[in-house]
Amino acid sequence: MRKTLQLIKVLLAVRPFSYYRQNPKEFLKALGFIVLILFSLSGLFSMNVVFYKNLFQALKPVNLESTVLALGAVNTVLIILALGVIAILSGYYYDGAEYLLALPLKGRELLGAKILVNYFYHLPIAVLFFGIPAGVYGYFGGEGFLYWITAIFNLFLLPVLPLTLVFAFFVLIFRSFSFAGKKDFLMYLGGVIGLGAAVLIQKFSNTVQLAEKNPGVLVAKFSDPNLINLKLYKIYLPALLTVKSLTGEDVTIKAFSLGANIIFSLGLLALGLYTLGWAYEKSLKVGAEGGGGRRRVKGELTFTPKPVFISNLLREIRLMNREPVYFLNGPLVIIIIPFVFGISFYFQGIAGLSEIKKFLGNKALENYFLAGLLSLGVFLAAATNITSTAISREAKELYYLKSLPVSEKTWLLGKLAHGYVFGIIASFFAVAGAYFLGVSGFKAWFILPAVLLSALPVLAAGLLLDLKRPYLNWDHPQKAFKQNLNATVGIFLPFMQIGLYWLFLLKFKLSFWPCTVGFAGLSFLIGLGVLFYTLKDAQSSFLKLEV
Amino acid sequence: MVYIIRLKNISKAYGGGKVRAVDNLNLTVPPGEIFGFLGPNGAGKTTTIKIMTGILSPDTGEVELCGVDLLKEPLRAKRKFGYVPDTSEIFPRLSGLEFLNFVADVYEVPAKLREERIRPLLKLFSLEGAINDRIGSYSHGMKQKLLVIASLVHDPDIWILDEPMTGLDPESSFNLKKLMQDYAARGKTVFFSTHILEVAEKLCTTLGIIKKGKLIFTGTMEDLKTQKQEDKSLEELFLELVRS
Repeated sequence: MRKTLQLIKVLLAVRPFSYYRQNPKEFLKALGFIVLILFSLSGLFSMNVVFYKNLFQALKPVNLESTVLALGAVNTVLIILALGVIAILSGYYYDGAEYLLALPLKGRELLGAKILVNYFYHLPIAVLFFGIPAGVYGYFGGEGFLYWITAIFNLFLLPVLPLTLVFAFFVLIFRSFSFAGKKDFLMYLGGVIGLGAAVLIQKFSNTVQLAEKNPGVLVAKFSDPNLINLKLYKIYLPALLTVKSLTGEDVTIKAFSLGANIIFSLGLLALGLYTLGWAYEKSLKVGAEGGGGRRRVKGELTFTPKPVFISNLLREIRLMNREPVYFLNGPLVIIIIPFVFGISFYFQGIAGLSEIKKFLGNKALENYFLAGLLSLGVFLAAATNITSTAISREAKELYYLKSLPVSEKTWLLGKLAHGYVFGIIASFFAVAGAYFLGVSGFKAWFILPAVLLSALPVLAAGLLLDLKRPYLNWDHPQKAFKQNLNATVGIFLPFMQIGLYWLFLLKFKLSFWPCTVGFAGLSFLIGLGVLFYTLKDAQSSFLKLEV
Repeated sequence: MVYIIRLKNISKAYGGGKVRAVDNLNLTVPPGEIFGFLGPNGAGKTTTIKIMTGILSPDTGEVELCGVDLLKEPLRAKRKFGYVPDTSEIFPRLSGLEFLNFVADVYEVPAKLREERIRPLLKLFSLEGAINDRIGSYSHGMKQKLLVIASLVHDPDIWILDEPMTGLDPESSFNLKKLMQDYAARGKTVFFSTHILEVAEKLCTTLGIIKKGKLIFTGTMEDLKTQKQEDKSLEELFLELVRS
């Protein structure tokens, strides 16, 4: 256990509080990161609160309010199962597994550390999906102190079993087959599953809307014993024990249920560690053997010269698109977001779409569609995070680039051009959206230059941000993106920009064309200013970059 | 005397001036030399090389390569050298050939010339069969060999190598040493850092020993023996120098 905890400390990069006292900047960064995470989850948090409150109030008159807890427990387990699969697909193997395998560590210690690290990552999911329904039930049901203590115990217990099950499943597969040479495939698979999870959350969001509009439908839906979630609740013992420990007839049943839940969940975890530890160790050894063949890039031995700018742009695009973490979180976002919009329409049914189409003939509203598509285009162009992580992604390779006879301006303009390559794709999506909504000709194609001009300040500001404060000391490419504040700020910038545009359009009631042309023109000028400032300082900024 | 490399009063400190990695270093290397840069771990070898290659800027001092001031004309100066870094972790998602073509594009090497230079080196280092594979799938030694080839694609006047023998198999190590000798024989300059004193002793025409950022010796092996008035191996003389 002691070795497992030491491993966890290394994996989570746990630092003592004294470190933050000595490095207040690091403390502020960590705090800012936590605030940003909380902010990004706040939408889901409030949506959950609204949904479970409505559900509780709708089901209480028919004495079915404990369904809130049952749903919360089952949904938590399902989401942790889905997200656990993604997490395991991208992080099953240890970085430096070969070194760890040479140390006197038992398989169960290695497996235990992996499961517990994942447990910490998934605990916020339990807070979001079980903590809220438990809170709603306790608050509106006027529950006492014991209820809240039991709820907290259950909240901590819920992620244990699904993560153990997911690991057990993958240990048995990976023990026999090496996926070490197919890490890219695993990442893409994880991405597809993540998209599936996004679709489920979208479906949930539509259910929330339904709940607000029609509580009667809610009662009918959630009192139906054939509802899949409620069927799962009856066969998944920990969920049943969770609800019994909170709503049981007397204290004895509650205490017994909680005790049984603790023994069952932790017992299965211990059983999993003791029976599968050796298999996990074997799977790491199978993984360390490598994937056999090498990834070959198609092509003959050709030596075709290209201009430096083009050659560098191709390098940028290849390095980003061939790294699954970057591709899934970057360029693919341009496709994913319109896809999620499509799914949203699908769940709202054709009715939702036809409601929009009703307005299509209305010339006054047509301009608002165009404004919306322009906003979407600008957001998509920035959402790839290409420029706001451009320097961080290079990391140690910057040393090599700095030794080459290429000006800093050329490097930076290459990165901006890379952002624009996908900005163009985003603008075409916006034009396609216009045609889909029945706007064609000049008005539809006007969006294309408008998006490209308006995207300059966000792309240039992202570049400036990452040049001045890059995240260079990472041990896994994922961190250049996921632990890089610039990526988050890079997505917030277009929100501010678009917000200002809509402020002028709606609040100050400016006419569409002068407002939009002015917005695009002014954005472009501001973008040029930011770019000029970035390039002016490029040489000294580059020299200051030290890994 | 003509110097192809001239470092004048170079200093570089880290951690807000607390750690002096390079301390008022002066160094000159004439053409046609194989200069071995020696020193214990943390002595300042890599920092000096990074300053010479424009990766780091010195706090004070001047760097001149083939008569071009690196700090005033960095792009012109960088065209004069080829560089093999101490880390081989580079562009794992590019194929070996894509990387070589990128470097050749940067130095604007014409197609015919790059082919003439790259093909024999691929053969010499047995990389022909793997050149279309992604760099990430290469072993450490293969990456090292690829970086060596990339550093020679524009046939530079100065060849700067930071710990180039690390991870190379005996045959590749032999080939690299031969390549360095042939290079110097053509009147070009090789500047490399190493921990392998036997290599330095046999290969280098001039040695530089750095300790705590200061150059404590420059000269030939014979100069070192004369200075110490002892007929010892480089290893023994080196240890005496850095321990004193």
